[in-house]
Amino acid sequence: MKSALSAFLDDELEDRQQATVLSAMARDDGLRQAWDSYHLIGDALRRAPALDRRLTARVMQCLERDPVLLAPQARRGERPLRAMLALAATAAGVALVAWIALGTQAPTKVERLAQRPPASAAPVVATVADSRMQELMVAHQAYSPANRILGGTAYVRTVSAAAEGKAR
Amino acid sequence: MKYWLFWALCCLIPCTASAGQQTDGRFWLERMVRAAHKLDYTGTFVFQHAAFSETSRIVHLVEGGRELERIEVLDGAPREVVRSDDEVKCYLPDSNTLIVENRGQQRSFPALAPTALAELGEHYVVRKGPLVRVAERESQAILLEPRDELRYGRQFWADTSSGLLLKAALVNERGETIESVTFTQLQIGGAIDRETLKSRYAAASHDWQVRNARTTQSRGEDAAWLFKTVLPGFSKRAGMLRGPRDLPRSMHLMFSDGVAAISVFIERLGAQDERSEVGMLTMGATNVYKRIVDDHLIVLMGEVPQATLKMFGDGIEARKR
Repeated sequence: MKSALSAFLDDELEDRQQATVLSAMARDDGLRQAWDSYHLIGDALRRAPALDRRLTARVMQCLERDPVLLAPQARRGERPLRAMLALAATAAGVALVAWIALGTQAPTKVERLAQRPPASAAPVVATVADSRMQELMVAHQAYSPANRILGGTAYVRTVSAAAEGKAR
Repeated sequence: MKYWLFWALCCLIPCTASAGQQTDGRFWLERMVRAAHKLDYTGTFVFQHAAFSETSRIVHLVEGGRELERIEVLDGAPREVVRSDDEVKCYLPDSNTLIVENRGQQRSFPALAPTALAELGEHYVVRKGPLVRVAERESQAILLEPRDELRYGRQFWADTSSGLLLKAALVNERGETIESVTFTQLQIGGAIDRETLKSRYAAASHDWQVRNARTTQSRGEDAAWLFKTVLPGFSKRAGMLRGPRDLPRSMHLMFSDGVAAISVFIERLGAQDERSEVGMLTMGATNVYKRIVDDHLIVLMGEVPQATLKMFGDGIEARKR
Protein backbone atom coordinates (compact mmCIF):
# COMPACT_ATOMS: atom_id res chain seq x y z
CA MET A 1 0.00 0.00 0.00
CA LYS A 2 2.91 2.35 0.69
CA SER A 3 4.04 2.22 -2.93
CA ALA A 4 0.50 3.14 -3.97
CA LEU A 5 0.68 6.02 -1.52
CA SER A 6 3.89 7.22 -3.11
CA ALA A 7 2.34 6.96 -6.59
CA PHE A 8 -0.67 8.92 -5.33
CA LEU A 9 1.65 11.64 -4.10
CA ASP A 10 3.24 11.83 -7.53
CA ASP A 11 -0.19 12.11 -9.09
CA GLU A 12 0.29 8.86 -10.95
CA LEU A 13 -2.86 7.06 -9.77
CA GLU A 14 -6.15 6.82 -11.57
CA ASP A 15 -9.27 8.12 -9.85
CA ARG A 16 -10.41 4.64 -8.86
CA GLN A 17 -7.06 3.76 -7.31
CA GLN A 18 -6.98 7.12 -5.52
CA ALA A 19 -10.28 6.31 -3.87
CA THR A 20 -8.89 2.96 -2.67
CA VAL A 21 -5.84 4.61 -1.15
CA LEU A 22 -7.96 7.30 0.48
CA SER A 23 -10.27 4.82 2.13
CA ALA A 24 -7.30 2.75 3.29
CA MET A 25 -5.84 5.91 4.82
CA ALA A 26 -9.05 6.65 6.61
CA ARG A 27 -8.78 3.25 8.32
CA ASP A 28 -5.05 3.00 8.89
CA ASP A 29 -3.23 5.35 11.26
CA GLY A 30 0.16 4.18 10.04
CA LEU A 31 -0.70 5.01 6.45
CA ARG A 32 -1.78 8.49 7.43
CA GLN A 33 1.51 8.99 9.22
CA ALA A 34 3.39 7.74 6.18
CA TRP A 35 1.43 10.17 4.03
CA ASP A 36 2.43 13.04 6.32
CA SER A 37 6.04 11.93 6.33
CA TYR A 38 6.17 11.66 2.54
CA HIS A 39 4.87 15.19 2.27
CA LEU A 40 7.41 16.41 4.75
CA ILE A 41 10.19 14.78 2.74
CA GLY A 42 8.73 16.27 -0.45
CA ASP A 43 8.67 19.70 1.14
CA ALA A 44 12.25 19.36 2.25
CA LEU A 45 13.29 18.23 -1.22
CA ARG A 46 11.54 21.19 -2.75
CA ARG A 47 13.14 23.29 -0.06
CA ALA A 48 9.76 24.78 0.69
CA PRO A 49 10.34 27.83 2.89
CA ALA A 50 7.32 27.19 5.13
CA LEU A 51 8.91 23.98 6.38
CA ASP A 52 11.88 25.85 7.65
CA ARG A 53 9.92 28.59 9.38
CA ARG A 54 7.32 26.50 11.12
CA LEU A 55 9.57 23.71 12.14
CA THR A 56 12.17 26.01 13.63
CA ALA A 57 9.54 27.90 15.60
CA ARG A 58 8.05 24.66 16.85
CA VAL A 59 11.40 23.22 17.79
CA MET A 60 12.28 26.38 19.70
CA GLN A 61 8.93 26.30 21.45
CA CYS A 62 9.41 22.69 22.43
CA LEU A 63 12.93 23.31 23.64
CA GLU A 64 11.69 26.10 25.87
CA ARG A 65 8.98 23.92 27.32
CA ASP A 66 11.25 20.93 27.66
CA PRO A 67 12.56 20.66 31.20
CA VAL A 68 15.99 19.21 31.79
CA LEU A 69 15.42 15.48 31.88
CA LEU A 70 16.64 14.17 35.21
CA ALA A 71 14.95 10.81 35.24
CA PRO A 72 14.52 8.65 32.18
CA GLN A 73 10.82 8.56 31.47
CA ALA A 74 8.67 8.04 28.44
CA ARG A 75 7.48 11.41 27.08
CA ARG A 76 4.58 10.48 24.91
CA GLY A 77 3.55 13.97 23.91
CA GLU A 78 6.75 14.83 22.12
CA ARG A 79 7.35 11.62 20.24
CA PRO A 80 5.81 12.65 16.94
CA LEU A 81 7.87 15.80 16.87
CA ARG A 82 11.07 13.90 17.55
CA ALA A 83 10.26 11.44 14.84
CA MET A 84 9.62 14.38 12.57
CA LEU A 85 12.91 15.99 13.48
CA ALA A 86 14.81 12.83 12.70
CA LEU A 87 12.93 12.61 9.43
CA ALA A 88 13.58 16.22 8.58
CA ALA A 89 17.27 15.73 9.26
CA THR A 90 17.31 12.71 6.97
CA ALA A 91 15.31 14.57 4.36
CA ALA A 92 17.76 17.46 4.50
CA GLY A 93 20.56 15.02 3.76
CA VAL A 94 18.59 13.51 0.91
CA ALA A 95 17.86 16.99 -0.38
CA LEU A 96 21.55 17.79 -0.47
CA VAL A 97 22.39 14.59 -2.32
CA ALA A 98 19.50 15.18 -4.72
CA TRP A 99 20.71 18.71 -5.30
CA ILE A 100 24.18 17.51 -6.23
CA ALA A 101 22.89 14.59 -8.29
CA LEU A 102 20.24 16.45 -10.21
CA GLY A 103 22.06 19.72 -10.58
CA THR A 104 19.93 22.67 -11.57
CA GLN A 105 16.70 21.03 -12.49
CA ALA A 106 13.85 23.19 -13.64
CA PRO A 107 11.50 24.19 -10.85
CA THR A 108 7.98 22.89 -10.61
CA LYS A 109 5.29 25.38 -11.32
CA VAL A 110 2.87 24.33 -8.67
CA GLU A 111 4.22 23.55 -5.28
CA ARG A 112 2.11 22.39 -2.45
CA LEU A 113 2.11 24.74 0.48
CA ALA A 114 4.33 23.04 2.99
CA GLN A 115 1.55 22.37 5.35
CA ARG A 116 0.52 18.99 6.63
CA PRO A 117 -3.07 18.43 5.63
CA PRO A 118 -5.42 18.01 8.55
CA ALA A 119 -6.34 14.33 8.92
CA SER A 120 -10.02 15.02 8.37
CA ALA A 121 -9.75 17.02 5.15
CA ALA A 122 -8.94 15.56 1.76
CA PRO A 123 -5.21 15.82 1.13
CA VAL A 124 -4.04 18.67 -1.02
CA VAL A 125 -2.47 17.28 -4.15
CA ALA A 126 -0.03 19.23 -6.25
CA THR A 127 -1.32 19.94 -9.70
CA VAL A 128 -0.20 21.80 -12.77
CA ALA A 129 -2.26 24.85 -13.51
CA ASP A 130 -4.78 24.15 -16.21
CA SER A 131 -5.85 26.46 -18.97
CA ARG A 132 -8.68 27.71 -16.78
CA MET A 133 -6.13 28.96 -14.26
CA GLN A 134 -4.16 30.52 -17.08
CA GLU A 135 -7.27 32.35 -18.20
CA LEU A 136 -7.77 33.73 -14.68
CA MET A 137 -4.10 34.69 -14.62
CA VAL A 138 -4.54 36.79 -17.78
CA ALA A 139 -7.60 38.49 -16.23
CA HIS A 140 -5.64 39.13 -13.04
CA GLN A 141 -2.72 40.68 -14.92
CA ALA A 142 -5.02 42.80 -17.09
CA TYR A 143 -6.34 44.63 -14.03
CA SER A 144 -3.20 44.69 -11.91
CA PRO A 145 -2.22 48.31 -11.17
CA ALA A 146 1.51 47.57 -11.01
CA ASN A 147 1.32 46.89 -14.73
CA ARG A 148 0.89 50.61 -15.28
CA ILE A 149 4.55 50.83 -14.33
CA LEU A 150 5.72 47.49 -15.67
CA GLY A 151 4.11 48.01 -19.07
CA GLY A 152 3.82 44.94 -21.25
CA THR A 153 6.59 43.03 -19.51
CA ALA A 154 4.17 41.97 -16.78
CA TYR A 155 2.10 40.00 -19.28
CA VAL A 156 4.99 37.64 -19.78
CA ARG A 157 3.92 36.09 -16.47
CA THR A 158 0.81 34.76 -18.16
CA VAL A 159 2.69 32.82 -20.82
CA SER A 160 5.77 31.99 -18.76
CA ALA A 161 3.73 30.20 -16.13
CA ALA A 162 2.77 27.77 -18.89
CA ALA A 163 6.38 26.97 -19.74
CA GLU A 164 7.47 26.78 -16.14
CA GLY A 165 4.89 24.07 -15.55
CA LYS A 166 5.98 22.03 -18.57
CA ALA A 167 9.61 22.13 -17.49
CA ARG A 168 8.72 19.94 -14.56
CA MET B 1 10.72 85.97 17.49
CA LYS B 2 13.53 85.39 15.03
CA TYR B 3 14.94 82.62 17.23
CA TRP B 4 11.56 80.96 17.30
CA LEU B 5 11.42 80.98 13.53
CA PHE B 6 14.94 79.59 13.34
CA TRP B 7 14.13 76.65 15.61
CA ALA B 8 10.89 76.01 13.85
CA LEU B 9 12.75 75.81 10.55
CA CYS B 10 15.36 73.51 12.06
CA CYS B 11 12.62 71.13 13.16
CA LEU B 12 11.07 71.19 9.73
CA ILE B 13 14.21 70.28 7.80
CA PRO B 14 14.34 66.57 8.69
CA CYS B 15 10.62 66.25 7.90
CA THR B 16 10.94 67.84 4.48
CA ALA B 17 13.98 65.71 3.72
CA SER B 18 12.08 62.42 4.12
CA ALA B 19 8.96 63.87 2.56
CA GLY B 20 11.22 65.02 -0.28
CA GLN B 21 12.41 61.43 -0.77
CA GLN B 22 8.79 60.28 -0.98
CA THR B 23 7.82 63.01 -3.46
CA ASP B 24 10.92 62.31 -5.51
CA GLY B 25 10.07 58.62 -5.61
CA ARG B 26 6.50 59.39 -6.61
CA PHE B 27 7.68 61.77 -9.32
CA TRP B 28 9.72 58.92 -10.80
CA LEU B 29 6.85 56.43 -10.57
CA GLU B 30 4.55 58.84 -12.39
CA ARG B 31 7.21 59.40 -15.00
CA MET B 32 7.55 55.64 -15.48
CA VAL B 33 3.79 55.21 -15.92
CA ARG B 34 3.73 57.94 -18.57
CA ALA B 35 6.78 56.56 -20.41
CA ALA B 36 5.42 52.99 -20.44
CA HIS B 37 2.27 54.10 -22.25
CA LYS B 38 3.45 56.98 -24.44
CA LEU B 39 6.75 55.85 -25.90
CA ASP B 40 7.54 53.71 -28.91
CA TYR B 41 10.15 51.14 -28.07
CA THR B 42 11.48 47.72 -28.89
CA GLY B 43 13.76 45.58 -26.79
CA THR B 44 14.75 42.25 -25.32
CA PHE B 45 14.21 41.36 -21.68
CA VAL B 46 14.86 38.45 -19.36
CA PHE B 47 12.10 37.25 -17.04
CA GLN B 48 13.35 35.36 -14.03
CA HIS B 49 11.60 33.44 -11.26
CA ALA B 50 13.60 31.21 -8.90
CA ALA B 51 15.81 29.08 -11.17
CA PHE B 52 13.55 29.66 -14.17
CA SER B 53 14.44 32.29 -16.72
CA GLU B 54 13.24 33.14 -20.18
CA THR B 55 14.11 35.78 -22.76
CA SER B 56 11.41 37.70 -24.64
CA ARG B 57 11.21 40.41 -27.23
CA ILE B 58 8.79 43.32 -26.82
CA VAL B 59 7.59 45.85 -29.38
CA HIS B 60 5.46 48.79 -28.19
CA LEU B 61 3.96 51.35 -30.53
CA VAL B 62 1.55 54.22 -29.91
CA GLU B 63 -0.49 54.99 -33.00
CA GLY B 64 -3.27 57.57 -33.05
CA GLY B 65 -3.55 57.34 -29.28
CA ARG B 66 -3.82 53.54 -29.38
CA GLU B 67 -1.28 51.33 -27.72
CA LEU B 68 -0.14 48.33 -29.73
CA GLU B 69 2.19 45.78 -28.26
CA ARG B 70 3.58 42.36 -28.94
CA ILE B 71 5.68 40.16 -26.69
CA GLU B 72 7.25 37.01 -28.04
CA VAL B 73 9.05 34.48 -25.87
CA LEU B 74 12.33 33.59 -27.55
CA ASP B 75 13.06 30.43 -25.53
CA GLY B 76 11.10 27.20 -25.66
CA ALA B 77 7.72 27.19 -27.35
CA PRO B 78 7.27 30.60 -29.00
CA ARG B 79 4.37 31.90 -26.93
CA GLU B 80 3.01 35.36 -27.63
CA VAL B 81 1.08 38.16 -26.01
CA VAL B 82 -0.47 40.65 -28.42
CA ARG B 83 -2.15 43.70 -26.93
CA SER B 84 -4.18 46.38 -28.59
CA ASP B 85 -5.18 48.97 -25.99
CA ASP B 86 -7.40 47.05 -23.59
CA GLU B 87 -7.56 43.79 -25.49
CA VAL B 88 -4.98 41.18 -24.56
CA LYS B 89 -4.47 37.99 -26.58
CA CYS B 90 -2.23 35.19 -25.30
CA TYR B 91 -1.21 32.59 -27.86
CA LEU B 92 -0.16 29.27 -26.34
CA PRO B 93 0.89 27.07 -29.29
CA ASP B 94 1.75 24.10 -27.05
CA SER B 95 -1.88 23.60 -26.14
CA ASN B 96 -3.32 25.30 -29.24
CA THR B 97 -5.05 27.76 -26.95
CA LEU B 98 -5.82 31.41 -27.43
CA ILE B 99 -6.82 33.36 -24.31
CA VAL B 100 -8.52 36.68 -24.94
CA GLU B 101 -9.18 39.25 -22.24
CA ASN B 102 -10.92 42.51 -23.01
CA ARG B 103 -11.32 45.12 -20.35
CA GLY B 104 -13.09 47.56 -22.62
CA GLN B 105 -15.96 47.84 -20.16
CA GLN B 106 -13.60 49.03 -17.50
CA ARG B 107 -11.99 51.96 -19.21
CA SER B 108 -12.47 54.04 -16.12
CA PHE B 109 -10.25 51.61 -14.26
CA PRO B 110 -8.20 53.76 -11.91
CA ALA B 111 -4.74 54.22 -13.27
CA LEU B 112 -1.88 55.01 -10.97
CA ALA B 113 -3.31 58.47 -10.47
CA PRO B 114 -1.38 60.92 -8.27
CA THR B 115 -3.86 60.22 -5.46
CA ALA B 116 -3.14 56.51 -5.71
CA LEU B 117 0.56 57.25 -5.50
CA ALA B 118 0.03 59.43 -2.44
CA GLU B 119 -1.67 56.48 -0.74
CA LEU B 120 1.39 54.37 -1.46
CA GLY B 121 3.34 56.23 1.17
CA GLU B 122 1.08 54.86 3.89
CA HIS B 123 2.04 51.27 3.18
CA TYR B 124 5.44 51.56 1.55
CA VAL B 125 8.53 53.61 2.19
CA VAL B 126 9.23 55.05 -1.25
CA ARG B 127 12.91 55.85 -1.72
CA LYS B 128 15.21 56.87 -4.49
CA GLY B 129 18.07 54.40 -4.79
CA PRO B 130 21.41 54.70 -6.56
CA LEU B 131 22.06 55.30 -10.25
CA VAL B 132 22.80 51.99 -11.95
CA ARG B 133 23.71 50.99 -15.50
CA VAL B 134 21.19 48.62 -17.11
CA ALA B 135 21.10 47.65 -20.81
CA GLU B 136 23.81 50.19 -21.61
CA ARG B 137 21.74 52.98 -20.08
CA GLU B 138 21.89 54.97 -16.87
CA SER B 139 18.95 54.14 -14.62
CA GLN B 140 17.50 55.55 -11.42
CA ALA B 141 16.52 52.94 -8.83
CA ILE B 142 13.20 53.49 -7.02
CA LEU B 143 12.62 51.31 -3.98
CA LEU B 144 9.26 50.53 -2.41
CA GLU B 145 9.80 48.94 0.97
CA PRO B 146 6.62 47.58 2.57
CA ARG B 147 5.75 48.92 6.02
CA ASP B 148 4.24 45.57 7.03
CA GLU B 149 4.43 41.90 6.07
CA LEU B 150 1.21 41.90 4.08
CA ARG B 151 2.89 42.89 0.83
CA TYR B 152 6.10 42.35 -1.08
CA GLY B 153 8.70 45.00 -1.74
CA ARG B 154 9.22 46.38 -5.22
CA GLN B 155 12.25 47.75 -6.96
CA PHE B 156 12.15 49.64 -10.22
CA TRP B 157 14.96 50.95 -12.34
CA ALA B 158 13.94 53.77 -14.71
CA ASP B 159 15.91 55.04 -17.69
CA THR B 160 17.07 58.50 -16.54
CA SER B 161 16.61 60.07 -19.97
CA SER B 162 13.15 58.68 -20.88
CA GLY B 163 11.68 57.31 -17.65
CA LEU B 164 11.09 53.91 -19.26
CA LEU B 165 11.35 50.83 -17.05
CA LEU B 166 14.64 49.00 -17.55
CA LYS B 167 14.42 46.55 -14.69
CA ALA B 168 11.92 45.54 -12.01
CA ALA B 169 12.10 43.16 -9.06
CA LEU B 170 9.68 41.68 -6.56
CA VAL B 171 11.20 41.23 -3.10
CA ASN B 172 9.82 38.89 -0.43
CA GLU B 173 9.60 39.33 3.33
CA ARG B 174 13.15 38.02 3.74
CA GLY B 175 14.58 40.56 1.31
CA GLU B 176 15.12 37.97 -1.43
CA THR B 177 14.30 38.77 -5.04
CA ILE B 178 11.61 36.31 -6.11
CA GLU B 179 10.92 37.60 -9.58
CA SER B 180 12.58 40.04 -11.93
CA VAL B 181 12.35 41.50 -15.39
CA THR B 182 15.52 42.98 -16.87
CA PHE B 183 16.02 44.56 -20.27
CA THR B 184 19.24 43.48 -21.94
CA GLN B 185 18.71 45.65 -25.02
CA LEU B 186 16.36 48.54 -25.64
CA GLN B 187 15.73 50.94 -28.49
CA ILE B 188 13.50 53.92 -27.77
CA GLY B 189 11.84 55.71 -30.68
CA GLY B 190 13.13 55.28 -34.21
CA ALA B 191 11.39 53.37 -36.97
CA ILE B 192 9.40 50.34 -35.84
CA ASP B 193 8.25 47.91 -38.50
CA ARG B 194 4.48 47.44 -38.09
CA GLU B 195 4.88 43.84 -39.25
CA THR B 196 6.64 43.06 -35.98
CA LEU B 197 3.35 43.72 -34.15
CA LYS B 198 1.49 40.95 -35.94
CA SER B 199 1.08 37.58 -34.32
CA ARG B 200 2.83 34.73 -36.10
CA TYR B 201 -0.18 32.60 -35.15
CA ALA B 202 -2.82 34.95 -36.57
CA ALA B 203 -3.58 32.43 -39.34
CA ALA B 204 -2.75 29.18 -37.57
CA SER B 205 -4.87 29.94 -34.52
CA HIS B 206 -8.20 29.71 -36.38
CA ASP B 207 -8.85 26.18 -35.22
CA TRP B 208 -7.40 26.70 -31.75
CA GLN B 209 -9.40 26.53 -28.57
CA VAL B 210 -10.40 30.12 -27.77
CA ARG B 211 -11.03 31.15 -24.20
CA ASN B 212 -12.70 34.49 -24.29
CA ALA B 213 -14.70 35.42 -21.23
CA ARG B 214 -16.57 38.59 -22.08
CA THR B 215 -16.64 40.82 -19.06
CA THR B 216 -19.26 43.29 -17.96
CA GLN B 217 -19.17 45.64 -15.05
CA SER B 218 -20.54 44.05 -11.90
CA ARG B 219 -23.80 45.53 -10.65
CA GLY B 220 -23.26 44.96 -6.99
CA GLU B 221 -23.37 41.15 -7.16
CA ASP B 222 -20.49 41.06 -4.72
CA ALA B 223 -22.90 42.22 -2.02
CA ALA B 224 -23.77 38.53 -1.61
CA TRP B 225 -20.33 38.00 -0.14
CA LEU B 226 -18.71 39.17 3.06
CA PHE B 227 -15.03 40.01 3.21
CA LYS B 228 -14.36 39.70 6.91
CA THR B 229 -10.60 40.19 6.76
CA VAL B 230 -9.64 43.79 6.23
CA LEU B 231 -6.16 44.08 4.78
CA PRO B 232 -4.86 47.57 5.59
CA GLY B 233 -4.50 49.60 2.40
CA PHE B 234 -6.26 47.09 0.16
CA SER B 235 -9.56 48.28 -1.22
CA LYS B 236 -11.83 47.08 -4.00
CA ARG B 237 -10.81 48.78 -7.25
CA ALA B 238 -12.89 46.92 -9.82
CA GLY B 239 -15.70 44.38 -10.07
CA MET B 240 -16.51 42.41 -13.21
CA LEU B 241 -18.79 39.59 -14.26
CA ARG B 242 -17.17 37.06 -16.57
CA GLY B 243 -19.13 35.17 -19.18
CA PRO B 244 -22.43 35.75 -20.98
CA ARG B 245 -24.38 38.72 -19.69
CA ASP B 246 -27.51 36.73 -18.84
CA LEU B 247 -25.60 33.86 -17.24
CA PRO B 248 -22.22 35.03 -16.00
CA ARG B 249 -19.94 32.20 -15.11
CA SER B 250 -17.96 33.98 -12.44
CA MET B 251 -17.31 37.23 -10.67
CA HIS B 252 -13.92 38.92 -10.61
CA LEU B 253 -13.11 41.45 -7.90
CA MET B 254 -9.82 43.29 -7.81
CA PHE B 255 -8.40 44.53 -4.52
CA SER B 256 -5.27 46.63 -4.44
CA ASP B 257 -3.13 48.92 -2.32
CA GLY B 258 -2.09 50.85 -5.43
CA VAL B 259 0.70 48.48 -6.45
CA ALA B 260 0.04 44.99 -5.11
CA ALA B 261 -3.09 43.35 -6.46
CA ILE B 262 -5.31 40.52 -5.27
CA SER B 263 -7.88 39.11 -7.67
CA VAL B 264 -10.83 37.24 -6.20
CA PHE B 265 -12.74 34.97 -8.59
CA ILE B 266 -15.99 33.48 -7.32
CA GLU B 267 -17.97 30.94 -9.31
CA ARG B 268 -20.73 28.47 -8.60
CA LEU B 269 -19.59 24.87 -8.75
CA GLY B 270 -21.41 22.56 -11.10
CA ALA B 271 -22.17 18.94 -10.17
CA GLN B 272 -19.29 17.60 -12.27
CA ASP B 273 -16.74 20.26 -11.35
CA GLU B 274 -13.48 19.28 -9.79
CA ARG B 275 -13.72 19.73 -6.05
CA SER B 276 -10.56 18.16 -4.73
CA GLU B 277 -8.13 20.76 -5.96
CA VAL B 278 -8.11 23.28 -3.14
CA GLY B 279 -5.36 24.91 -1.12
CA MET B 280 -2.33 26.99 -1.91
CA LEU B 281 -0.68 26.81 -5.32
CA THR B 282 1.88 28.95 -7.07
CA MET B 283 2.15 30.10 -10.66
CA GLY B 284 5.56 31.67 -10.89
CA ALA B 285 5.75 34.43 -8.28
CA THR B 286 1.97 34.67 -8.25
CA ASN B 287 0.36 32.86 -5.35
CA VAL B 288 -2.99 31.17 -5.82
CA TYR B 289 -5.34 30.12 -3.03
CA LYS B 290 -8.45 28.06 -3.74
CA ARG B 291 -11.31 27.48 -1.34
CA ILE B 292 -14.79 26.08 -1.59
CA VAL B 293 -17.46 28.04 0.25
CA ASP B 294 -21.16 27.23 0.04
CA ASP B 295 -20.95 25.41 -3.31
CA HIS B 296 -18.79 28.15 -4.78
CA LEU B 297 -15.19 27.93 -5.81
CA ILE B 298 -13.19 30.93 -4.66
CA VAL B 299 -9.84 31.53 -6.34
CA LEU B 300 -7.55 34.23 -4.98
CA MET B 301 -4.56 35.28 -7.01
CA GLY B 302 -1.91 37.83 -6.25
CA GLU B 303 1.72 38.85 -6.07
CA VAL B 304 1.49 38.99 -2.28
CA PRO B 305 2.82 36.68 0.46
CA GLN B 306 0.90 33.41 0.86
CA ALA B 307 -0.06 34.36 4.40
CA THR B 308 -1.78 37.53 3.12
CA LEU B 309 -3.70 35.60 0.51
CA LYS B 310 -4.77 32.94 3.00
CA MET B 311 -5.86 35.49 5.60
CA PHE B 312 -7.92 37.37 3.06
CA GLY B 313 -9.37 34.22 1.49
CA ASP B 314 -10.32 32.62 4.79
CA GLY B 315 -12.33 35.74 5.64
CA ILE B 316 -14.65 35.35 2.65
CA GLU B 317 -18.15 34.17 3.55
CA ALA B 318 -21.48 33.97 1.82
CA ARG B 319 -23.84 36.54 3.30
CA LYS B 320 -26.81 34.94 5.05
CA ARG B 321 -30.07 35.89 3.46
